[in-house]
Amino acid sequence: MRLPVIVLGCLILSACAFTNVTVNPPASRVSTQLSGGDGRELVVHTPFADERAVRQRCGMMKNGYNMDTASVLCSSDPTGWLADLLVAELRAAGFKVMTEGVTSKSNGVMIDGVLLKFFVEPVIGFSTVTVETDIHIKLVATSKNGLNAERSFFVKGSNSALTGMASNFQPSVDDATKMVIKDMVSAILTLMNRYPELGMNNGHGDQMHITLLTRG
Amino acid sequence: MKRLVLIFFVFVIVGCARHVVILPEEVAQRNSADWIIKSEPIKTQTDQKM
Repeated sequence: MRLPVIVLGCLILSACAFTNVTVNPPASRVSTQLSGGDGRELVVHTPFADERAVRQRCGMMKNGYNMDTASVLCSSDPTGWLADLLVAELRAAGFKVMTEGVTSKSNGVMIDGVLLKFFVEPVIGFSTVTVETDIHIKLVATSKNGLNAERSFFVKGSNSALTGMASNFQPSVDDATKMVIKDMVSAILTLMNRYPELGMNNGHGDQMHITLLTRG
Repeated sequence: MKRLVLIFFVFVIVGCARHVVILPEEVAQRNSADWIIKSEPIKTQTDQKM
């Protein structure tokens, strides 16, 4: 009788987590505070393609022995809300963004994203628990006039606490999401500034400018 | 006592086997420093005038 009681006591003391946790997209806007889109046209296909190795859940809960005891679930598909957040921040940065179809312009840029990893996991330390969130996204940028570029974004969000409570998971997801969206918007701005002709209204802007000067 | 030690080791071994997130020092290796340009856009006459 003594042995089962001791084992049961150990299990309880090791903070076994047998209940699933649900994480959500960030409640507030990511707000990268970047600008420079200058009305250039982009097509960002939403949602992103899903190439995660683990698709049925977004993470795992663990007990004090580092054992996988329950799942972290996403309230909605991360391929959808990560793409939506990217579109919102690109618009805030000044780009004209479409989310479906193809661009009619030869210099219009199409961006396709692939979600390679989205996983939340508590990492048990000596005295604290750090909830880590790994997000890995690959972006491929193409245009009809020949651009083909790709870039990989890997970020790790974290939130440290004394215990791996359910409430510690959401801040870690928010942290990683903000980082990856900011990195992606910044990288797209860099690419578009490297080739300033991309996404511009060819000729029309110049013609309008010349007409105004002549009248003046 | 032997059974307790055995149970403890089983828990530790099973626990060590599960780790999905990567180590923080490996993040930089998986992150591209810049865009990999496979082909550049062809400049049109209008673009060259700009």
